[in-house]
Order: sequence, then structure tokens, then C-alpha cells
Amino acid sequence: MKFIPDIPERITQRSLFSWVWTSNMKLQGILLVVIVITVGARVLPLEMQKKIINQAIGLKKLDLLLIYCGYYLAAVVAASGLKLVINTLQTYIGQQSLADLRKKLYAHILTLPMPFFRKASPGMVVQSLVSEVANTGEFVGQAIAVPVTNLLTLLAFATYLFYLNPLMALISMALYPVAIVVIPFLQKRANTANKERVDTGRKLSTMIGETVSGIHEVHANASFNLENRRYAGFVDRLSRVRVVWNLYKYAIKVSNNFFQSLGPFVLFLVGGYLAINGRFDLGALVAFLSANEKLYDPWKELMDFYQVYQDAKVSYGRIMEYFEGAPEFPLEPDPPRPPLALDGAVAVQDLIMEVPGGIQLLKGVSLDVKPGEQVALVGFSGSGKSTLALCICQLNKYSAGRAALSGYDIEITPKSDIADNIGVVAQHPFIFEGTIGDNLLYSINARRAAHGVEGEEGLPSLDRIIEAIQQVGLFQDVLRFGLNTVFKKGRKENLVKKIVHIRECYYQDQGEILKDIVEFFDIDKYLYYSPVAANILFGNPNREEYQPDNLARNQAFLDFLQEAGLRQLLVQLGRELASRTVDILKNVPSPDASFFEQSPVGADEFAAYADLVNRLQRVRLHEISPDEERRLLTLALRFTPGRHKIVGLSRITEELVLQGRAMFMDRIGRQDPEAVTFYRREDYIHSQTIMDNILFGRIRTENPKSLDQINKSIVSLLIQEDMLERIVELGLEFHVGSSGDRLSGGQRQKVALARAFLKEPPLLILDEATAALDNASQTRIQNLLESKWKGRSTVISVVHRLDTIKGFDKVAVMKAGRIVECASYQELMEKKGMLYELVHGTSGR
Amino acid sequence: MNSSTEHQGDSEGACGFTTHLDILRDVPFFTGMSLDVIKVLAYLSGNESFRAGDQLCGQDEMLDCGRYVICGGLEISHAPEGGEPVVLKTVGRGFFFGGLSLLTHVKSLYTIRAVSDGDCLVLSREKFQKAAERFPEMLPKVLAAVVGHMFTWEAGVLEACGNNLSALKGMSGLTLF
Repeated sequence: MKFIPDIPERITQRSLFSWVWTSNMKLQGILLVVIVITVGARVLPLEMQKKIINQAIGLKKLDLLLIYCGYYLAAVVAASGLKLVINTLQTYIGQQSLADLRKKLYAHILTLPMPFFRKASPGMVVQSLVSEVANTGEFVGQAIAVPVTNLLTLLAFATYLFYLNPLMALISMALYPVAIVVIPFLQKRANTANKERVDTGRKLSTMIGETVSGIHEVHANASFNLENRRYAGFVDRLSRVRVVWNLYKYAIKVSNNFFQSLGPFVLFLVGGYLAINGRFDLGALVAFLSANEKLYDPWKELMDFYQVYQDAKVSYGRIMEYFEGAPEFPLEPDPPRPPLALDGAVAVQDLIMEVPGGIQLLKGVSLDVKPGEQVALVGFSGSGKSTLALCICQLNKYSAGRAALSGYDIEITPKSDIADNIGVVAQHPFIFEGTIGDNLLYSINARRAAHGVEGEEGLPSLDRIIEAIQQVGLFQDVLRFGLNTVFKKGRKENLVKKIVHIRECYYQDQGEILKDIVEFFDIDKYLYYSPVAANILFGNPNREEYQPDNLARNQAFLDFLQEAGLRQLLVQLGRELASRTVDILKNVPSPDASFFEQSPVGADEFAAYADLVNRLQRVRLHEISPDEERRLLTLALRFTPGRHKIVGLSRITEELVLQGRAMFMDRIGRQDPEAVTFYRREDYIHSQTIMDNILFGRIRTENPKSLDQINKSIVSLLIQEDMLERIVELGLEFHVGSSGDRLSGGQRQKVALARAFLKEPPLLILDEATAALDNASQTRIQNLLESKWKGRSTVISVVHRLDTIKGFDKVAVMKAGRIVECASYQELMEKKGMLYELVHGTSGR
Repeated sequence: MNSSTEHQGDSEGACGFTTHLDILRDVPFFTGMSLDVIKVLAYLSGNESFRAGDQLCGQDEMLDCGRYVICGGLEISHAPEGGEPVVLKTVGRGFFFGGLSLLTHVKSLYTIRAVSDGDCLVLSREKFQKAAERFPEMLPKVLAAVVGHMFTWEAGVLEACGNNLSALKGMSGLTLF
């Protein structure tokens, strides 16, 4: 007979107990040994109690009293210490198993078929992985330790009781069988309520997730009351279910306590009678009472464990039921073999894809694509172009027909082989949080992780990455991100020296040409494209308290503002900036970072400033607290008139700031000359970006032509100075934000294209991959496909803009789930069929 | 605007928001939108200067923003396939174009070039779309404005043709779409 039962491979088919078998058995073994020792240490004090009363006190022997008390103390200390060891071990085992369960469940969820994710709510998945699995871990940690410890303890105490007096032992335990009948009955009811609690909790999280995702609709309809009612309905139901569940749990505890409390009553009655009649000695009665009382602890722990088990059983069952399902395609080759190297040939025959409801999205599509051939899929929306492309890359599962890559049936080819050989770019690609560099290498790193490749192996060189970002037109963006890097003082000193050198060369070359588009740092002029703080300081802060964000907390600086007559003026400016921002954005549902580019208020500060603005409607400026004044000053000091057009800068403020600059220079020069290094052409400005440092000023315009002019001149200079790669490297470290929200739609699509090109797959699937790009970028990608990738990679491209399809080898025109014509662009246009109609829009004339 | 922050004269410290707001409220494309939405669009708009000779958009190039001419002059031209460009009209202050490109990806059928130095308000498609995602109720208003404009424009064309409709032969009419 096998000790450990067979454990199914699919996680959803595994039993709760299987996690006990796969937990750290070595630790479980150590735990068992510790438990056995602990049980001995728990029983010993009982015997000592008896000996202390009967032998030491009864016979008045002091030496025996000290010896037995010593033993007693040693046993108690050992039992407590061992209990701590048991708890540590069981926590460790439980958390290890929980981590294992979480990892395996997450891995399973990721492989579930795409239709599952169209239905499943993210809130549900998060709740299952984060909170619902927790009690399974708790159970696994306790699964061996708690029942074994407590059953052994119970057994040891019971044996000891029988050893003292079998009749009394029998009487005191007569009530336990009753408890064993009553408690499971109550637990069954508690389980039913618990199942309902789990289900209602899930519905509640789904509802919350849905409301947050659909917040536009909520705000658009001002459906706050309606949504509050829906939410309140779930909360009330959850609260009712929780009351019932808790009542049953308390009922279990109360009955348990009740049966336990009846024990001493019987003992006093019978034991007292026997002691009075001299048939039972007093020491034995005390030990008996003590042992009976100690029976309660293991019994209670067993009952608690029983509840943990039942709760875990319910949650675990519900989780596994929800995530039941198998991947649509095999994930890895079985038996393992080296990855397939496909040539990019695609053969599709009579492909049908049917969705629930009997609707056929593809109605018998056939298409042959030779290795290196480029095919455009065109047609009206809903004609099945994307559906077909997604069937080829295993993102959709077809219902009938056959599709093969290099002769391998797509339906049975492992996903690892398909992913190794295909690059997919979606219309709305997903960009992960992290740097641009991380995102560019995502596909390559996925392939490396799939094959267990470590270190630098398989990674493209920096030159190759630069080539890819140039090809997709992302180079200028990455360069700009690099040029926008700010270094803290003391970092990258060599780079800093070179930038100062470049600044001089650049100014001599371009200074005259750029004077209209760059606002150079000039001590006598107000800098409209720099914040008010930079206008006052006109230098590089060397101390933390003079950093822009700390100025409003710097008492010396606040005193200076007061003396310069700027303090009240700036507080008033801060108030206007806050009020205007809140007034404009107060009704915008979930505004992202791009809504805060035109205001000094940060996205994460908006709610706090909205509260402040609300308060400012009730109080006057002189009544606000120092903290509120500080927050208004912070806004004013960030205010950059050239960028934050929501309010204007008055001449008075401008002139006072200029006077203030001179005053500040004079004062800081006398009092604390090390605090700020004033802008000088020969010094690097650490509070400014590399670009601002090269320009020794700020760009005034967002005009693409002017920016292009600056970029080109800077690039040629960086090349001359052998600095270009270094700046691009810095740009690749730019953090794209959550879901890439710091990138524009076009930039996200370029990252996705570069990501696929870097992978150099034999088959590229482009699903309207250039839809968000401007004309020039789109043409660049098209030229790239026609030059670099022609004959090298097969390309299947879902195309919306028909002016880009002339260079494709084949054009397949789709209509209502069928390919209605497929040939070269020239042939189809001469035929004057469907493509001709689409290109010339005949149907609309 | 409070006196403490109001800028005297047109300079880089001036408040662009109120100017943008006044402009957008007067542009028919935005007619019917609530003040709250127009405020957001005005806030998201920027300014762009142009020099005489600059091309603001080229024929067959993708349009990706709406522009309103604040000052300066522009000429609108169209080049027939294989032919020389023909200047159709010269426009100036108050001319708004590119509105349809805010709704979807479209290519310009015309080239628009500056004939004098000037300045315009610019609202990019990306920013407009972000606002539209958050205020979907504005789209039917835009659609109504576009449809209204189509009808007025085609009625104007038909009226201009008078009895000479031969150039329109074979076309079923834009407003029948």
C-alpha cells in the first residue's frame, strides 16, 4: 500500500489533503518528533502534582518538594518552548504550501482558454488568489501537527486518568460522545452558510470591479444612488450570511464549552463522595481534576482545527470549481524535445470558428501562405480578418477544418512551439509596468524563461535594440526620454562633464538658430518655461531643504518670501491654481496622468486639493492652517506659466519674482553660499534634465517641426561626442507607468512592433498593428516589411487602411466570415471586384 | 480671472485656458456639449505657432488634430491625381479644421499651408479621445453637429450647381449615406 496517494496533475482535480502530502515532509517529520516530546512534557506536571501533595507535602519532606517542583518547572518550560517550536514549524509549512498553491494556481489560471477571461472578472481572480486560498495554507500547516499533538495529548491524559481511577475516568469522559454527535451537525449548517458567504463575497467583488471599470457610465448617468443601492444589497446579504455563519460557529463553541464544563461537576460529585468515604486520596483527586481540566485544551484545539478544516474545504472546493478547465492547446511537447524551428508556411483549409449561440465567425476559410510571403487581410469590420489571424496564432480555437504551420497542425502543436515561432502585434497592445527596455525584451525574455535560459544568453545587443527602435520610429522617443533624465549630484560625474562640454559646442553651433524656440537661462529675464521656484533660486540646490519640493517647508525660505513680499502673492496664486484645476477636472471620471500635464497639481494629489478648495470656499486665506498654506505655496512654486496655461502670471508677480531672485542671490551668498549653485554655463544643473543642460534653457514649443530640428542637431552632436548610445540606454530605462499609461497610443504600438521584430520570428501576425501610428511611422513600418522582412519572415497583416497594401504579395479580401477573393493587389484591382470596391468606395457613391 | 494673476498683454505668461474656452464655445463642432466638457477640452488644448510657408497638413497625410486659427492666414489647396495643386480658398482667424480627425483616423483630402505667420489652437485626437472616453455623452452631440454640417454643405453645393447638375451625375448624395 502506498503511503502517499497519486496526485492528479491538474491542480483543480487535486484534493485539499494532497497539499499536505506535497508539503515539506522533512519538516512534518521533525514536527512529529517535537510533538511526541511535547506530549510527554505536558503529562509530567500532572504526576508531579500528585507527588507534591501526597509525598512532599503529605510526608512533610522539603527536599522532595524542591525536587518535584524543579521537575514541574522544567516540564512547564519545556512544554512552552516546544509549543513555540511547533507553531513556528506549522506556520512555515503552511506558508510554504500556500505559496506553492498560489504559484500553481496562478500558473494554471494563465493557461486557461481565452473565453474564460472574457467572462471572468479580474476582482474574482484577485480575491481567489489573494484571500480565499489563505485558509488552505492554514489548514496544511496544521493538518499533521494539530490533530496528532492534540489526539496524543488527549490519549496521554485519558490514559493517565484511567491509571488514577478507571471508573472516574469513564464517568468524566461520558459526555464527549454526545459532543461528537452534536458538533458535526452544527458544523454542517455552518458550512452551508460559509459556502453562501464565499459566493456572496465573490458577487460583491465582481460588482465592485464592474462599477470601477464602468465608472464612466456611472458618472455619465449620475447613477450614484442606483449603484449604492446595488452595492448595499450585496453588503446586506453578505452581512446576513455572516451573522448566520458566525452564529453556527459560536453555537459550536458554546456546546463544546458546555460539555467541557459538565466534566468537573461530575468529578466533584463522584470524586468528592469517594474521597469522603476514603476510597480515593486527595492528591489523586487534585491531579484528576487538573488532568480533566487540561483535557479541555487539546479538545478545544481539535474543535478549532475541525473548523479550519471545514472552512478550508469550502473555500478550496469553490476555488477549484471556479477555475476548473484545461488549456485549449498543449503547453509543452510531451515527451520533451527541442523546440521546433518552423519556416513560416501557413496552410488553412475549410476553417470554421463557431461561438456559443451557433454564430459562425469563420465559415470555411482556406488560405495558403508560402514561407516569407506577405499577406494582407482586408474587409469590413466584423468580416473575420482578426478572427482568422488569431486562429493562426492559437489565440482563438477553431471549431472545424484544419490549420497548419509548416505542416504542423495548429490544434495539437504545443503553445511553446507556436510562441517560439510567431510574433504577434495587436491593435491595442498591452504594455507592462516597468521600463521601455523591459517591454522591448518581453517576448525574448518569455522565450528565454520558457527554455530556462539564464544570464545574457539570447539577449539582443544594444546595437540591435537601437536598430529595432529606429526601424519602428521609436528612436526619437527613447532619445527624448533619455534626454529628460535628471541626475542627482554625485552620480554619473563623467557623463555630466561631457554634457557640459556638449552644451558649449551646441551653443556655438546652434545658439543663434534656436533663440526663438529655446528659452535660455538668463539672469535678467523671467523664465516662463521654468517653475516659479527655479525662477527664484535660479540655480542648483545643493541642500535637501532647498530642493523644489521642500522649499515650502523650509522656514528660512518662507521668511525670505515674506521679506520679498512674495509669500501672500504666491499663496493666492496657489489658491487660484488649485481652484482652477479642481473646477476643470472635478467631473472627469478617473483622469489619468495625461490630464495633469497642464496643471501643477499631481494626479495623486487631486483628491486632497479638491478637499482644500472646498474648504477655501468657507474660510479666508488668512484663516488657513500652516499645512494648508504650505500646500498652496507648493503649487505656486511649481507653477510654470508656459506649460500651465490654466492661470496667467501677473506682471506684478513676475517683477517681484525677478526682484526676489536678486534678493535671494544676495542673501544666500552671504548667509549660506553652499546651499545653491547658481546657473552658470560652465556648471551642470543637477535639478534639470540632460536636454535642459545641453540647451542651457527650456524648449518653448511643442511644434513637431521645431522639436525635430532640435533633436536632429542634438543627435548629430551626440554622435560626434560618442554619447548617443549612452543617452539611448538611459532612455530605455524610462518607466512606462501602469499599463504603459505614460506612453502615447502610438508609442505603445511602436514598442509592441519593436518587441515582435526583436524576436525575429519566422511568422509575424500584425492585427491592425499600425492603426495608432501617424502617417510617416506607418509608411516606415510598411517600407520595413517590404525591405527587411520580405522573404525572410512570413507576414499576415490585418489591415484597415487600404493604401498600405500595395506592397503585399497577396491580398485576401474577407466578407462575412469568408475569403471572397485572394490574389495580388494588381490582379484584384484589375478584376474590379470586392477590393476595387473597397478601395474606391463604390458602394458609397 | 483674478487681478493678481491676470497678465497684461499677450505674452507667454498669459492665461491660455480662458482664450481656449471662448474659442471652443464658438466652434460649431463642439456645439451642444456641456460647459464642463468644453472646459476639459479647452484645458487639454495647446497653442502652436506657424510661419508663412509652413505646411499644417498635406494632402493624403493622416490628420491627427483639430486646429483653430487664432491669427494668421492659411490657404487650402487640392491636387488632382497627376495634376498641379489648385488653391481653393484662403482662410484666416476663426477657421476650424480637422474636427473629423478627432473622431477617427482619416487622411486629409487637402493641403493646408500658412500664407502668413500666425498662431492656432490645437486639440489632438489622443486628448480628445481621452475626454470622449470619459464623457461619452458628448459624442451624439458631435455626431449631430457633423450631420447638420453635411446637410448644410450639400444643400449649398446643390444650390451652387443650380440647374447644372451634370458634374454630380452618378453620385447618390452624401446626405443619403
